[in-house]
Amino acid sequence: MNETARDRITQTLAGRTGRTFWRSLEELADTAAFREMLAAEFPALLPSLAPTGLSRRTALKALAGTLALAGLTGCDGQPDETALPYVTAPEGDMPGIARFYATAVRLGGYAQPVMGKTHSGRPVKLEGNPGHPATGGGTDLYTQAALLDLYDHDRSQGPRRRNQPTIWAAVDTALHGLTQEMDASRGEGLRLLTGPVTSPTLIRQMTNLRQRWPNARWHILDPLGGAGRLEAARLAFGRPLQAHALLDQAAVLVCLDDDPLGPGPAQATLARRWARRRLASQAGQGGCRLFVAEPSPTLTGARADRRLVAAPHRLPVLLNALEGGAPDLRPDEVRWLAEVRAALAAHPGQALVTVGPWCDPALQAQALRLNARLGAVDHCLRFTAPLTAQAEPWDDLVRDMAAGRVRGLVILEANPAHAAPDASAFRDALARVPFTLHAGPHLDETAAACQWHAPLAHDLESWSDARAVDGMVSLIQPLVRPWLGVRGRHALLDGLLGGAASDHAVVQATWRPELGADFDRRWTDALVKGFIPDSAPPWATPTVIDTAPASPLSAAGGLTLLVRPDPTLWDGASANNAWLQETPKPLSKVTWGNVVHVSPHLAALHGLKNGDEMTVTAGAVAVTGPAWILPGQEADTITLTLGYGRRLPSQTADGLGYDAYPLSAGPATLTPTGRTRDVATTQRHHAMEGEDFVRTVPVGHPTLPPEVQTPSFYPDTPPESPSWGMAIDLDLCIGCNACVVACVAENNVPMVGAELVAMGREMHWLRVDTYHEGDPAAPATYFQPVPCMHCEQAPCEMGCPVNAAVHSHDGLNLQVYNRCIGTRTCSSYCPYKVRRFNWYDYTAKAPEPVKAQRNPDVTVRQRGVMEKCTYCIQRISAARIQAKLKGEAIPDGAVVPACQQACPTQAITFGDVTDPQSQVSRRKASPRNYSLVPEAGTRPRTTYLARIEPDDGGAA
Amino acid sequence: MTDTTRDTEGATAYAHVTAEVTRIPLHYPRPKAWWLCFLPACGLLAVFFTALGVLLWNGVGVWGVNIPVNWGFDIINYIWFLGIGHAGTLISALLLLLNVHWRNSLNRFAEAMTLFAVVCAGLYPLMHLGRPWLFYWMAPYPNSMTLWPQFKSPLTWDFFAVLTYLTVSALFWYIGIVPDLAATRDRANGRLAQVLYGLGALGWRGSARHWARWGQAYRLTAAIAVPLVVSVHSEISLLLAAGPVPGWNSTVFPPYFVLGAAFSGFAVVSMIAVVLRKALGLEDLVRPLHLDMLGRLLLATGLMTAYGYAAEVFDTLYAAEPADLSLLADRLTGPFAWSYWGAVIGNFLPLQLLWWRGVRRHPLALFLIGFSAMVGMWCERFMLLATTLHHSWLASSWRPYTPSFWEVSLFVGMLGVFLVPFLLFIRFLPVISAFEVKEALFEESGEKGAGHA
Repeated sequence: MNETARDRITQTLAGRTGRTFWRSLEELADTAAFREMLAAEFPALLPSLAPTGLSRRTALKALAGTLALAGLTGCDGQPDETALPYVTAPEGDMPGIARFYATAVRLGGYAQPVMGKTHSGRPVKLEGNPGHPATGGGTDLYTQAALLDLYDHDRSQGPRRRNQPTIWAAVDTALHGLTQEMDASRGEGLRLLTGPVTSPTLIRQMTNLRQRWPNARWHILDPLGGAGRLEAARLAFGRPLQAHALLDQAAVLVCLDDDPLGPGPAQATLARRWARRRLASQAGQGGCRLFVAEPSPTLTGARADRRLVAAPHRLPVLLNALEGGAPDLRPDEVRWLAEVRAALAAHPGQALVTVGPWCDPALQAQALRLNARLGAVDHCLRFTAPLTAQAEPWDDLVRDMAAGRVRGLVILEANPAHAAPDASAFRDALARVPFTLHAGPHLDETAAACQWHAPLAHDLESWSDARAVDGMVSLIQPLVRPWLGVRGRHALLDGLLGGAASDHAVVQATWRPELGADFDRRWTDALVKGFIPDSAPPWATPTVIDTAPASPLSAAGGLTLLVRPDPTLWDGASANNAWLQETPKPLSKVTWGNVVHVSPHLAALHGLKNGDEMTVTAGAVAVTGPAWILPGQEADTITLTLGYGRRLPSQTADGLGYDAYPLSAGPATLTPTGRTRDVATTQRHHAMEGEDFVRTVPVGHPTLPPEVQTPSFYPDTPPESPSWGMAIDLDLCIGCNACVVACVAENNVPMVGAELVAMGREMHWLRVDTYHEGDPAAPATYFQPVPCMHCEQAPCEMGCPVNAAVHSHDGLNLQVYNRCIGTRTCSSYCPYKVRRFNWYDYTAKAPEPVKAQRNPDVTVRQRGVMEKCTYCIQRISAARIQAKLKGEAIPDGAVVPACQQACPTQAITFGDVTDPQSQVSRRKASPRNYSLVPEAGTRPRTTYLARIEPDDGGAA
Repeated sequence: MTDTTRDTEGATAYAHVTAEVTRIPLHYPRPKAWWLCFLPACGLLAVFFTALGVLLWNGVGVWGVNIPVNWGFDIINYIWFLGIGHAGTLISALLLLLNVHWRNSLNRFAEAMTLFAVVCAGLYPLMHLGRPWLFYWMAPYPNSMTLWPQFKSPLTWDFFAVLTYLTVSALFWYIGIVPDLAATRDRANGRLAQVLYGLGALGWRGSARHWARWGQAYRLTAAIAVPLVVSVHSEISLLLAAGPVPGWNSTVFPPYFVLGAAFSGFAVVSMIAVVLRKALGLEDLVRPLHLDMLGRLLLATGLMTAYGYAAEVFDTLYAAEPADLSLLADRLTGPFAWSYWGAVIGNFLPLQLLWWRGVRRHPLALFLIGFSAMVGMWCERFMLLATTLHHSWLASSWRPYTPSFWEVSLFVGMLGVFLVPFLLFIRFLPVISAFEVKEALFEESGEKGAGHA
């Protein structure tokens, strides 16, 4: 007991006359803390509920009731719906046979449609939903990694109050108090803050809330979001509209600092569309030209036919020139523009010009008007009403909080104390709000700063809904019952409104009127499909209105800073996710941290090396991080990425990298600190050193010289049918890393951490090599996914002294973990270095929850054994068993390895190479087909299809 | 000079030799110096056991190895130690078969050096395994799974070769030492020493029948040992050369390795010879003639090794495969260029001094040249492993390699594994083959006598 309490006791006792009974010192002291405890434990005793005080009769009634109900305390919270215990297994359920459920996970508020694979009720893998019209089964790396968030051992385990564990009853009491207060004031001073929202159910709940409390306000924090895009549409068409780039119909795509193929909620959809266009163009049906002008390299830039390195202030000039203006241009800009103009002229109505969401909305609007002139609107650029909910801006909230106008703040799935440009202002203003509650899956910076924290369920353990980027609504259904003290967001919001409905009931209530009389059948149908058909908003037909063109940007001397989402962490919400952390960034191959991207020119000027620590100052804010020389970066720009610099004590992401949120794009300065940092990177050489690992063919003559088979001492194994092989079309690969994370999820690949990655011990079975070619200032960039080649004449098999590396009858190069003694000869002999060694015991030392994620079909590996890509042999076996049960051959397409499944562009094909009609054989029959390092004489089963380039080379 | 005096002189000389050799185990001449060497060696041994414990407890991850450089100090030192272990057998067995007498002053400690070096070498491949407790899977033993080793793998043959070499070297050394153990037994005063040396002497009484059987066994083992010298290191070279790896995949490797091994072995024998004759006062037995001979051997094998270097570079340039050329450039100028130039300079520059007889007969000069070659050969092993692995086919997988603390500790400790038994050997066993020296003396005098008569 502290000093004040003791003083209070003394005071109380001193002031009393007669006999005073008390049960505990706390009660006697009657401190605020004690009252809170009492309120949390026995909400019924609150003065608000019994305004006249507690009578003797009521107390006795309560006592009797308590006694009668005491036995119920042994019961847990009830699940939303009927769940069957495994004691009596569900009919038809076989242990060891996976079940798939269509559901979705969210990124930036948008649904990523998936099929969730569960083993005995445990989600073990997310696959793209092949039936979904937007993605067609492709995914991105975030979707693949979302599974690990479910098993994150740093997840919030239960509600907290002032950073101390508390119980849900306490949260309920607090919310109840808030409800009563708001009912009285019609919501005066109540603010809700969410991240971007597309969920119709959440929007319905918010509408209800605002009807009940008209004075309440809803703010949305979306630091990376599409607010600029909507604003641009408003400028161009007079109303905010969501643009849908139908890349599959755009024969020419011109991107000005835009990255449609890059990471983000739309990646899987846009990449799918672009790949469809690219495949058609490979087959000779129309063109697929891609022109990019950008200051900082992106995945789209890497795939461009012509990439122009353009400073941010040159973008309005270029757009002006495309519109027909005649500004002053540099020679390289003239060349680029000439080609773009020619391509645009050659494809009327099939050309699309896009401007990045981070650019000035006026510039984006200008591009929309240009698209209208080019005939793109209503063809390859269509519009719908906005998919994300529209609410009041975030800035107003911080202003009102600072002014003391906010009485209660409820934050739902947003992290304004970190992921906002003015996070520090928000943190300061938070102290002026009497009631603050944060609801989210993580104990993040905002959870630590708020009075209350309520843990929310992961998408895979809750009912909800959300729209995919094409507007189609996906139903989110749980794959597993929550095992932590978490709650669904709809139930929480319903609780705030005084209800007690479950998530399931709230979501159904949204759709019951929409789906009409045949609700049950249509609901089940939507659950099976994973989306509600025809739920996308209809196309809108915009008309261009006249507004002022974008004001030209002045060419500020000095350096320009760009702040971009991180290519593997996005906004940083899943920063604890080791799969994302250990995924190499597509261009720099850096893991477990963010770097300061500088141009080769700047590096030469200041004598910088990779890893030299730099301080970047923009305005009054400075961050420090290791420099990284990025070929193709505009000479005087620096790029920082978001999502790092987290302050999450004792969590995985704590202290990694710098926090770039407080910095705004614009002029900046760069100062070396003189120190050097070790950056964990997985690839140190990006030049092909005169070799042709990635081959290219001109579009006019897409043929490689035929390969001469090198002689071998060893006899050829007679090909049996089936005999597995893989073809990877480098012309379709966009380097997005979805395959890498899918492989990790499927094959129980352990994550090893920054220190071991820096030593060269990452465990990825599949990696994406990135090569640059040409002038470092404006290079061509190539991606090459490298799984095991499953060589027909495999050197590893010859080297292994104990027969642990062997060849199977169906052409697989197998690694028998049980037999491996760890001599590592196989890896020494491997020309492709795709083998990975268990230097330590990674499997047993993984965090406990992560062990529950593991795929039971894939063996985990002991310390001291070698492992590598198996072509997902467990999937081959499953398909073989199915085929045998039916008594037929394994049909083509029955075996889909995880990498192929995840690939949004269908760059990877797998199948039986002895069947000339199989998809993989047809791809391998392409004149673009080649083997990696044929001079090693290994006869790889994984082959590549050369990338197609414009007739006169790649880089502009 | 009469026959009698000659006989007397001869007898005195023989007695002198036996006394000089056998007095060492019985009345060690410089116990203080020995302890000064032995205690630090025990310290090194303790380092070894610590590093070994850390390794076995945690896994090979405590070393600095990675993918692609998945072999580091383990295989580097394996090859290096085994190379050193070649000289003993070459000097003893080959020169025995060739009837070269001057070997007799050197063979015993050269053989012991071989034995302990092979033990050190043999430990490395066991320790470097990911799962060392399963090392016996490399052996073709009958098992219920009817699994055999993979006979195409050079590692399987390495395992056989090293094991055979270790066995034969031990046998050869032991057979050779039996008569001297008997002599020591006979001169021992203490009961314990008499019993122990007696056990070791296997009841040797020096009868003519003993000598005949002994001679057969000794020469037979020698005949078996000589081809093993060639096979062991050829086999090890195949561990590298059999893979389709630029920088390893070369037919010059087997002879290149055998000669390099002999070279490094002679270098170490020279160093030990210089130290021992000084420390144990054996100047009468290890004479400048022997140093001269060692110097010549060192020069000859060194020059052959240099030829190997030249042949390798020539091969690469002649074939002009881009991957090989790129690797050669990396070896000469890359991050590990120090190891290439360290090997070239350490091996071949001081070596040229051995063209002069004075240098060859100068103990300190010979010692320093031997030391330089030993370091040079270590650099060569490092260069062969590290540069080749870190610079593989695909530029994307090029990665540097930094040995870790425990990797270096294990190497330092391994010197203890070599030194402790070797010091025990010179303390308690006859370091020079007394009877063979006598035999040589006799034959020498016999020839002289015949010429005189």
